[in-house]
Amino acid sequence: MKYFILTILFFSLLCFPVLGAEASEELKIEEILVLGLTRTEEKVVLSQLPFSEGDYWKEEYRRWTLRRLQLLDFFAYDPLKVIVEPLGNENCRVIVRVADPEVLYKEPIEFVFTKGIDLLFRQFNLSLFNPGGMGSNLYFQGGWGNYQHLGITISSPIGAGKGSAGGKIYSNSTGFYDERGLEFKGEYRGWFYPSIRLTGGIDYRTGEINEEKQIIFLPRGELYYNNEFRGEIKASLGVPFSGEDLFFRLQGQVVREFGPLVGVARGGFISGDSPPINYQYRLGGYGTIPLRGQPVELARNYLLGTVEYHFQAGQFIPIIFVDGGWYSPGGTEGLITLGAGMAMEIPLGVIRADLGWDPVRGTTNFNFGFGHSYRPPF
Amino acid sequence: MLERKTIIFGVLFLLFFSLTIDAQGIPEIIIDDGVYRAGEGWRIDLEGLRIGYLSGSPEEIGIQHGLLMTDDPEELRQKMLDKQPYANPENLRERLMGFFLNTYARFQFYPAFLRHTPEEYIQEMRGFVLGASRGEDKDIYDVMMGNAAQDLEIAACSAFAAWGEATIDGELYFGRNLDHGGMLDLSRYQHLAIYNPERGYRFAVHNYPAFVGTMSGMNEKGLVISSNYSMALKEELAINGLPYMFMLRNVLQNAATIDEALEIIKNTPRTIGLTLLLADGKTPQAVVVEITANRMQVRTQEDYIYAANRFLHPEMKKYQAGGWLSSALREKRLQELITEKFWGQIDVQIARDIMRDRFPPEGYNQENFGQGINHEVNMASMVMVPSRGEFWVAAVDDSEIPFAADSHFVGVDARAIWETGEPPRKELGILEATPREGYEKYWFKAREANLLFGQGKGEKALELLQKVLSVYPRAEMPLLMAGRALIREGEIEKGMEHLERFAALELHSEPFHLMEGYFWLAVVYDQVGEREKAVEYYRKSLQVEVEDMPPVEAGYRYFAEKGMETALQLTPEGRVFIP
Repeated sequence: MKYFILTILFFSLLCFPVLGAEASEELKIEEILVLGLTRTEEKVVLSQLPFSEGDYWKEEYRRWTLRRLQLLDFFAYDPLKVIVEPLGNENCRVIVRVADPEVLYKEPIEFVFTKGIDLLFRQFNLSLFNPGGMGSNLYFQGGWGNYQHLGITISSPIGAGKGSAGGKIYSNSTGFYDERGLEFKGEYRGWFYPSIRLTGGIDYRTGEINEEKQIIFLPRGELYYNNEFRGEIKASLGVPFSGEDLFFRLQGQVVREFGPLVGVARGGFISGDSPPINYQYRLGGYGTIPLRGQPVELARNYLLGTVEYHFQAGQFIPIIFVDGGWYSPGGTEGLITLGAGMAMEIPLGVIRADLGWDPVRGTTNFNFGFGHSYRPPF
Repeated sequence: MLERKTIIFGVLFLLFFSLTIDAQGIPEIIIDDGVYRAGEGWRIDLEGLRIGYLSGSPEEIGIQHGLLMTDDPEELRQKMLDKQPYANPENLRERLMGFFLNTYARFQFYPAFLRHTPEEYIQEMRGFVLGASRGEDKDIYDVMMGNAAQDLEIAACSAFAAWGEATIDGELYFGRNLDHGGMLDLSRYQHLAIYNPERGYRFAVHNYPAFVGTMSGMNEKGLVISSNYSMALKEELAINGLPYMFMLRNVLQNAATIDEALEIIKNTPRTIGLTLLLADGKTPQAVVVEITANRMQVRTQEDYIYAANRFLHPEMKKYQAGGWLSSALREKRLQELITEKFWGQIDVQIARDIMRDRFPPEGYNQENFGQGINHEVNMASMVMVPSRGEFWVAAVDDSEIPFAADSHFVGVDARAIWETGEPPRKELGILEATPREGYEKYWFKAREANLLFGQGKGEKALELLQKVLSVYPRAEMPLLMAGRALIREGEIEKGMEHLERFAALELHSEPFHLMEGYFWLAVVYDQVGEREKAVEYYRKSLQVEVEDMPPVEAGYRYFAEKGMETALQLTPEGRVFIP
């Protein structure tokens, strides 16, 4: 079985980077036109552009601009375009076509759908998209039942990126572990190259975990790559002020698609023998780390590989997958999951259902979720 | 306690007062010697053409528009609402679909249009609703959607401008046909509105009640603009933008030169593909602005220029979507008429004649009865001479098919109205309607038949076509149309006979129709089991080169290719399917 797992990991790790230089056209940018703003000030968009008038246009600017504008999270989904129009004298006009959405929603169907899901899970999240026109969003979160919380976050464009500050001003949950207290987060994100996004942040948490006092200060850094393959690396350092040991957390993921075949490799590591339970990795369930044939598990370290085959059949996307890997402390002997599922594209994205079977443990699990299991890391 | 009561009373008083302000703000309509007046505005009916003068603040203009330009606002509103999808649901599914679409439009499209529309036009729409409802209503939803609905329709219009060497006196003459099958029943509500706005230039537009935006107009600075659809690729469309009729209105109200107009168009978040003909009577000069939601290119030419329903600028051709609207034929006719037949002679009457063109050209040795620049969905036709402020409009009657360009034209001196603010005592002139006799008499029948056939009224269409064919047995288009109608009626043999006669003609004016004729012949041969002949005609159909049919066009080409592989069949309703 060890060799089988290694084979899956090998295939999933075929996700090597292919860095290609993009061809540039010899067109000089004579004019930049931002079209479609009704609430947002033009300087908010201009500050995100990686080019200015007088520069020579490069095709990579298009992707870079779109990623930066999407990161701000307050433009309507459509239109969001960068158009280069030749002016016939080796010059060009660059048109950035955007639109402000309603303050409460970008798409009414999405609003109704997501609020319905929220209520199903006893929570309510509300976003106010750039109400003042200066680029600041407000996010409110609330929950009741077993996962009581109340939070607020504000985000704002800072330079060619986005800063945000906020957190949970109250939480009292009795789910996987009992948690009470407050949490504050501050971070800055930005696309600093067309394919590379960086995030730097600081979290501060004070409260109780399973009735034990916990005060933690956690600086963190994240790097995302999105080009021929997608990858992410997240590192953070936990500095407890409540008696526990210092801990270091490192997590990564690489996704590469070969036509209908997708390879995903994921890994996570936390230093120390007994890191805080709420900073350990949660595998399976609705989290981002799939454990599809087994019940939800907490892990300190994991290494998982997935090879998935999917194809389009009308509106449906049949899926066959194999997961393999190991995690500690619960799964050091290794695991294999064989499964099949079905995804469907709906106007709001992809919904997916699959059934995983672990032939070693003899367990099966039904999973339902939004987006593909190899969902983009950002 | 007393304080609370005072507050409640105060709120109720304010509420009552705010309602009465609206009711009081509606001026009374005074009828004086055939002139209907409301505030500074007035309306007259001059030789069958309704002319309105709208003056003042946006809200005042809107109120005058609502009061004066609609005799029966509710009837008009119902006509517009009936054009919405699922307007008259026949079952629960359609009722639910209608409810869903309306709700979605109210929460997604309507707020987007509102955000992009200048406050001035919103106030004018509010004024219109107040005026039309006589102070009862001020919800602008239906009016906004009516203005924006033009962004979702497809129409086939033609326009040209000629000046300099091309015209009799060097002045610029602008001809324009508005062709829109889906709006034909609104043609009788047309009017010429002369605006004297509080802000911006005075202008005149050809329009319909409730439209605050426009599709054709001229301003006091001699600038003229009109719009023709040009189907753009899906990625070149955007619903989240300014409905295009408002953009044209904005140009007329705020631009004095072509350059200023281009600047406005360039800076507008646009929605669909259009070819705009933009002319300046002062210079004189005209350009065609080819646009999509995201792109814009300007086409220029000396002495004359024209536009149908496709992009001609090389940069814009890449973004043309499928759909055949007979643009090439109309462009060819405009070119022939301006540069060969009428070069150096163009004046108002000849400009009108160009818009009235019904093909075939002289020397075409066979009766055609096809469309030229003029055709059966022509709902409005007009000629403008911006240097003199002249606006000539075809005065359509209540006929179901107005054949606007063939109606009589009424000349209006817009400049005099801008200067005096008073109704004209007399028209500038009248250009007579086309006499319905000889070839023309049968042309109207043939074109009406084409429209009826398109509406699924095959029997009525056949009746008209037989009348044409009894007099003109070699009539090109009637043979094709009758062949198709007979097939739809299940008379395969007779249909085949008509199509064979069509195919055997020496000349075929429009390659698209030849392709169509060969295709249907192939289909009928498939129905009678003559596979070899069917394949031969499918091949012939595929070999016809249709210049203005974009490669993405499915329709006949797709089915003809399938027909080469397997015999196509017909449904009882006469529709083709692949077994």
